[in-house]
Amino acid sequence: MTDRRRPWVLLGTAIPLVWVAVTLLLPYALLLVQSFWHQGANGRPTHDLTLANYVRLFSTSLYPSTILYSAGVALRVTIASLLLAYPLAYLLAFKVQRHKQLLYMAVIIPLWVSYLVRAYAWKIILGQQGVVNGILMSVGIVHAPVTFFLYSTAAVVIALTHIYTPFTLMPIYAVLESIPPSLREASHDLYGNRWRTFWHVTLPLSLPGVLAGCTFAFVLSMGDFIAPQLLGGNDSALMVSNLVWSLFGVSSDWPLGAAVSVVMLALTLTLLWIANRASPAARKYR
Amino acid sequence: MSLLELRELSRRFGDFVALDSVNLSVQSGEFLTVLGASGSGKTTTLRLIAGFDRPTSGSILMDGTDLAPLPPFRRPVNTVFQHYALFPHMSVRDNVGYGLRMQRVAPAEIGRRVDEALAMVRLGDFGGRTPKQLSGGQQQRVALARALVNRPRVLLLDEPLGALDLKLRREMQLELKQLQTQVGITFIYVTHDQEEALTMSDRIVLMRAGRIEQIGTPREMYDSPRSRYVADFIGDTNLLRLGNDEVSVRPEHVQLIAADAGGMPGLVDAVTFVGSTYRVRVALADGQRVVALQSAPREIGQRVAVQWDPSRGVIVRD
Repeated sequence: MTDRRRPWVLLGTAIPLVWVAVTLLLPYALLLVQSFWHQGANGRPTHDLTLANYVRLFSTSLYPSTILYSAGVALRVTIASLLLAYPLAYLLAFKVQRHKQLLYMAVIIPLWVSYLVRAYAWKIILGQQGVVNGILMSVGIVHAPVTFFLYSTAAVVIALTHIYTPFTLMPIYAVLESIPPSLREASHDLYGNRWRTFWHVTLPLSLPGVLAGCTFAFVLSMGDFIAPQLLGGNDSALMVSNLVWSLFGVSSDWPLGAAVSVVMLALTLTLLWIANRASPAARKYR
Repeated sequence: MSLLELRELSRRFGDFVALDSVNLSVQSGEFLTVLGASGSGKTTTLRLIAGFDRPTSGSILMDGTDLAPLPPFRRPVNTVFQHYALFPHMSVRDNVGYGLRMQRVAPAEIGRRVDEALAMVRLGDFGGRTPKQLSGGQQQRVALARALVNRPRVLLLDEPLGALDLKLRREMQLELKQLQTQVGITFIYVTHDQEEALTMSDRIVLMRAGRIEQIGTPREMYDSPRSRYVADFIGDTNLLRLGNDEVSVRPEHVQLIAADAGGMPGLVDAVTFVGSTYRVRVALADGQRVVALQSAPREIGQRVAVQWDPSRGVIVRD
């Protein structure tokens, strides 16, 4: 590279770095500082540093229990997404011969539809006048609309699963596509039938993609707050992000909101770190 | 005794005929090479025998049973893949033992046979490694051990030496041939390298555009090519039009004699040193060129005549 071009390279690297620093790192840093501020009696924070927000967070059962509840929802979403995405990715990667790109796009396209539209769609499907109730009543299985479909944990899990399954599918599909066909042929050649070939060759080689997909589904659904609000209904179905939202909003307790956010961030980063550590083990031989 | 028989075997992909009614009989214990350019149908033939692909029509008979309807995991054949296709997430031992595990052989016997197979390819100390930690030649030998440990009726090899450098390839050719003689298993070996085919094979099947062009021992293929394609594909040759015939003469059979001593007169127009000999090219009076291998160089522009023992000039059809 000639010296004359170096300034441009530096500039090209510097701009994105500055962008990330200003829009991502700086807010996180502010959040961290804010979480140690003191919530004044007049509802406005003072800049005296204190651990009181964290003490309150862990001593009020609402916050730990909501975090656990959110993790539980995220776990169910992750499992459901995996169960849907893996077979679909497998079919796309190995069984579909024609229109492969088209089908892949069909799976991915919901990502381009507004999140709100997708969340509201489930309200329509699961509601009292909704599609599910309509079918059940017209077939005669129930006589009055069933109310527990909507405004329940199940509704939240269903909607989040729908919203985040493409994120699970993409890495799994990518890793399945990257497995050389000759490896599966070699297994067949060595007396491995279809099931045993899947179990001993395809599945272990696809684990890095599974791990990446599960991390996406878990982290994204753990942090979601719109679907719980639209479909979760009552307070018991609220997720931790809803709490953060109201702490920064109606409750106007920014320091506590910041503390909850920092704990969430720490949990998420821990999870990503674990996934990152596990992934070399999963891709050890690739 | 015929072990494997292909009868009227065809494979079409849409309008493209990859394999066109091929008949072939493979003898028990022989080293058979399927030779051909890319697109000649040699790999298709191999994949049909292995079961990775299904024929459009025809049958693949082994001891009188048709293998064509069977999936690959029910066929008594094993394959050495072009890029080895070793399982990257398993150790060398687990790779070699894979076929036996799938056949639910007792663990003690698996251990014993894997040891044997690794010793046979001189990789006894490498069982604990992963394929990634091995050189290309070593991976190649693991692939061989992984297939041979199952004692297949027929071993299929798909350009197994293609990824190795020339020197290693020559070594492996000899090693493969010795191994085949030692284990006595029928090898069907696919390659586009005619030299490889000549070196190792008991018989060569030369394929062209989905059909068999000629079958014979390496000697027959070299000395008595039936068509100009065979003569040209296998070894170096001079193809000369003499009257209504086309004649193939190998450069080592062309003699250079004095210009007035009979034969066909011409002028030496190129001389290249090729190690042990010189390639001397002669331009004949009618413009055709003949290459002769000579132990001594010639002057460019020298007037000479070429001749050959009539038995060495093979009339070939188009």
